[in-house]
Amino acid sequence: MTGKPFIKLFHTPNSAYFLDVNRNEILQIGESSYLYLENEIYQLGKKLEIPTEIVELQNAGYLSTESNIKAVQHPYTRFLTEFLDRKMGKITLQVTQNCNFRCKYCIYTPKKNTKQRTHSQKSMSWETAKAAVDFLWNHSVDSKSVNVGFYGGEPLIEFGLIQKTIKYCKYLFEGKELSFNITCNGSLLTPEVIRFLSRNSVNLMISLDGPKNINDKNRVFVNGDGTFNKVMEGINLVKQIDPKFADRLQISMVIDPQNEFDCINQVFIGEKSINRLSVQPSIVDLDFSEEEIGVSEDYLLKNTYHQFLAVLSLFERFDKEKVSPIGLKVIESAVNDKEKIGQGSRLMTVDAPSGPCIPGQLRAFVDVDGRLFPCERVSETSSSMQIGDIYNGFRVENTLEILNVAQLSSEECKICWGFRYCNQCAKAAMDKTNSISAAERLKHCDDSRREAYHRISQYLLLQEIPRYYNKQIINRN
Amino acid sequence: MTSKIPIGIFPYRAELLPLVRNFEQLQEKYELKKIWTFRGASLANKDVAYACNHPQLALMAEVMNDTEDIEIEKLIVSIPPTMNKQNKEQTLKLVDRFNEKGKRTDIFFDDWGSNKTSLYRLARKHPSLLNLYPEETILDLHQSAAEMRYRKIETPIIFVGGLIENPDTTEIVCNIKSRFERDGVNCLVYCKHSIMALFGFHSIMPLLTANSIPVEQRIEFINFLANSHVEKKRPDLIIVEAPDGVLRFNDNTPNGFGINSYILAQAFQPDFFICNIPFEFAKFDLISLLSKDFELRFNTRLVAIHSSNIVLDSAENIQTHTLSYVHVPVSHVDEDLSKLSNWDVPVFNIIVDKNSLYSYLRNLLSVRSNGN
Repeated sequence: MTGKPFIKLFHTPNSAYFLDVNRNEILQIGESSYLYLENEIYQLGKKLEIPTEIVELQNAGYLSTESNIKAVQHPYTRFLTEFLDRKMGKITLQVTQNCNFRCKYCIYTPKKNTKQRTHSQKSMSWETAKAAVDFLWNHSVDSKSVNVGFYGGEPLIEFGLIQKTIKYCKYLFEGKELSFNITCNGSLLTPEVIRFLSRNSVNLMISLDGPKNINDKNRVFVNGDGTFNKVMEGINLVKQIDPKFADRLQISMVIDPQNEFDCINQVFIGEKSINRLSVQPSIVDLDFSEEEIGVSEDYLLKNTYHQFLAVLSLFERFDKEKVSPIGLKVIESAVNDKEKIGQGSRLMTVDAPSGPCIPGQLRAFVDVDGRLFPCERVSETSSSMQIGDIYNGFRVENTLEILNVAQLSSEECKICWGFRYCNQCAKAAMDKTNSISAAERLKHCDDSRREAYHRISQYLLLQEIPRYYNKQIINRN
Repeated sequence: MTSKIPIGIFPYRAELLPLVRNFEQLQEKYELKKIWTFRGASLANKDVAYACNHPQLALMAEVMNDTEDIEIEKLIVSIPPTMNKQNKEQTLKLVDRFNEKGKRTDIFFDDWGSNKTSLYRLARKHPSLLNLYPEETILDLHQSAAEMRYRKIETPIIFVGGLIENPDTTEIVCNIKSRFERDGVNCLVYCKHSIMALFGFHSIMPLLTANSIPVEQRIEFINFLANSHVEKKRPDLIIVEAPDGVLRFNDNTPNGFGINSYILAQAFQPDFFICNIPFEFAKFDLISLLSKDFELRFNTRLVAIHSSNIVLDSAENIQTHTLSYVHVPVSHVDEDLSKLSNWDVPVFNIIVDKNSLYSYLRNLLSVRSNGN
């Protein structure tokens, strides 16, 4: 073989595989082929004879040594303007920057924050909210449905504005499929609020991080008191007033992996008041902080164990009720990945890594002043991330820069095996000066490849289970 | 000469652009005075062509504010299969308001599977003012079933379909029909939207989607219906529009698997196939593959391609398993077409160049009739 093949090797307890990066195909291979390819890639210096299987694969066009990619550019670069002009799908309105909580990990807390705005008393005016909804109307002729989200601070501080905005949306989008989302902290839910949200089919997400001792470590009121009791009061009120609406309630759980895994899950396992399947876990976001995320050994081990239990529950070999929602979500993603992995197209001459959405098209975040950002997770203090405003429209040059953020690292991207599985958007490329930079982007590549490796390994596991463990599945009773 | 009846159309949307664009050319009975749309369609106070990002037609879509003092005599309503319950209720309320004022309404419905109780209730309330279409019912065919026999249709048949369902497929049908008729060629047209009955087109959707009838029998019914039309109308040419995508798009997006197109191809045995494809797909390799595939699948020859100004939204495709797209300016299509070399299968952009496809087909048909 002349040169290293552009592939990534995988080995499960049952078999060996490689991802042909150019072709974006995962192929099962024999052990001798695996060892041969391993020797070639890692230059182990062993003298091995080339297996027939490898020769056949080469003859069939696999195992090429050069990347197909000659230039990095997002395929929708040419049509960006049209996507933004005609196919916006969602706006999220920052109705206030104020919050009655001061969560210790909050990206808007001055202590945790070097690259993001801080809490303030600013709220969105009705004129701005209306103009934002009008902006969505004017940019969504090709969208079959639209979604309007409400975000904060704590959005329910501005319940009056939310009511007025929803009423206006229903008038303006008459005839189009319309949905609403709100992410709140659960402390301001009153019977009036709940009835209004239910009546308007608003998808409600409440933040809760676990049992009282875990939740109250970080999620506290402005005066420092824990919030757990108040939030549970709100959740129970939703169940009491409108049980059907409560069934659709989603829980956003921010995980601090320094905590013990069992403690985090305590409130969700065996707890009847929360539907575990509606829990959306995410790891605490320290991207705007100077700190790094610490992971306790207990968290790591038990999280892996619960992912294993989740796989067993998928094949009805373990009671789902006893599995952590964190593990269940990971396996749910892996099941969804089954459709996606290996389905994407082969690498093209001009191509872009997966990761960035079309900024502003899939969703746009509108801050209290009407400025547009790709989503609520990016820094509102970065001019690079501002993709326009609702009065003057999109800033195409900024939007293009975000869409083609991979051009910052095009040489590295062209030869990266994780090209089709990259999870990096422009947010990951923000440096200390709030600009996007190649150096910052490249810092995240190892993590991205690690996640890609994990995803593909899980995909292979799910593929193998019916093949290698069919007997155990069938004889489950 | 009798004056035309002033009408309004509701709810206007991209699928109705071919109807609006060809309204003057393809019918003489009505004058299109008002084009009303749902406010949420983002089309109000814009040129109707904005719906597909086509060159302007100088006709505006509006939101209907009131039915008072409206200069129209009749409201034409088209209910698509995708219309949700709330919008249907609202549409019927509007029809009721019209009828209450003594104005007539024709409702063309394409939502075959849905409950039509409220529609029939309204029709009973205003029997002299409200008409429901299409009128061709399966019952009529059941009565004729005894004499039904599958027969090859001898009239030349052009089959028009799209890789992805979009309004340009209907536009192709309207474009070639109007030009053939202008030149004295008598055309019989089968179309997916029942509202195209305004142009004298027949809708085959009630038969095509009659799930209570075995599919083989449906093919025979459609063939029988077409043969009976041929006997009555003696057309020189038949044009058939495929109702949805002609092929499975990928594993994630079945796109109807092309089943309806296959059924139609069996019922009609078309002679020529015109395919509407997104302009990005107008690549030599792909068209060659498609051409071979269609020949096997439909037993017909791909003779021409219309390149439409749509770009697929692949992110939405992955997330929702549906095909959605954005309309880009037609200049993009022209730009790409100018780079194509001459192929066996010519590629057209009928939105800009309205006559070339017709001229080509005319030539093709004359060659065929000369037996060359």
